[in-house]
Amino acid sequence: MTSGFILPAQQLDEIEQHLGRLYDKTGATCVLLIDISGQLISYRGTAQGVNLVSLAALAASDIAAATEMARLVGEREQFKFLFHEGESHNVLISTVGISFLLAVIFKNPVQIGLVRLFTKEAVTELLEVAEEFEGIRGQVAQVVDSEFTTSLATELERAFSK
Amino acid sequence: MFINWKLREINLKIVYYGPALSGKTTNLEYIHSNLKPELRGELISLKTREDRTIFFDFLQLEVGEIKGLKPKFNLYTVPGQVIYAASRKLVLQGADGVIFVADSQWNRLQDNVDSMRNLEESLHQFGYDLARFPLAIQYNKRDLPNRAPIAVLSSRLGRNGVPQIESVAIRGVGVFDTLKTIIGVVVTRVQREID
Repeated sequence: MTSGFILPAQQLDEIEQHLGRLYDKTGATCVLLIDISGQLISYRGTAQGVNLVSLAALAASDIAAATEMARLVGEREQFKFLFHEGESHNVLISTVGISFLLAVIFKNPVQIGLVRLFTKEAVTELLEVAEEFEGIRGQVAQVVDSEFTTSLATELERAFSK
Repeated sequence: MFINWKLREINLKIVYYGPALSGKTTNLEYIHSNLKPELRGELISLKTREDRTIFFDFLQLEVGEIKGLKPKFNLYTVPGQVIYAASRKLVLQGADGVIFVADSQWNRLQDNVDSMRNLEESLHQFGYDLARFPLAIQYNKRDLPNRAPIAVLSSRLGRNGVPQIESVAIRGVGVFDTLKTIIGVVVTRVQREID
């Protein structure tokens, strides 16, 4: 919860490569990596007009609700995939371990089977990267020092004064 | 807290918690309508047809760059109604700090107490102790005639060292102060954990 994590640039590059491959292979509109608290980590694809920050928050809640449903119906594992099918747009959401999820937005006629298959592959690859950066805590010290705290208070004052 | 070095972003998740109709959504609506559009995102509300929160409200805001990093705040509310206990817990996941929005009216005193207990239990299930979790308490609706004195509310809800702010969220009184306070508490806590 308050522990948080830091994503170094190198890991983000790796993540972006995996997302890029998934994006290319599936022909999806957009692929997003999100953490379970709803934080958008990275994305690939065309995002014009789509509020990806809100989409990430909703996808994480979607997975959280589905996980709770799984528990209620007696499913031992969490549901691995959620699929929302529309007239022209579809969204597939997959868990990536217990801390992350992957959302793929795609249009018809991209096939769901194909998206599912390549998403599964990408999840395996992303899991390796995710393990590397989860819970790297010490480096926060370099960022959140007293100077940062003071500057943040000033910035908040500025933002909130009409 | 999530720091993305490549995008130079530092992200915090703040959750507004409290009993039904205490003013959690009102806090977010005020922030949304009183911040410059370039500083805030869209306000997402998952509501019932009766305009009650069914899952959460969500709003992202950001402030100017600090030491080359852009601070971003993800604000969530939980549904206050008792039946949505499961949803409340889910929204708490990954929270860096909680603002407890209490309803100051005498007839809501017990609802506040129950909601605080509910918060404590949910945090406990995530392995966190409310006594050590970044928290600020907002006593809302201070303009209503049937408000309980702060001393009474504080004795039932207050905790050692937890900041308490009076508010009239519908008019914006105390709204930004509460948010600034919890952000300060979260950042100080992170520093203390490191030291």
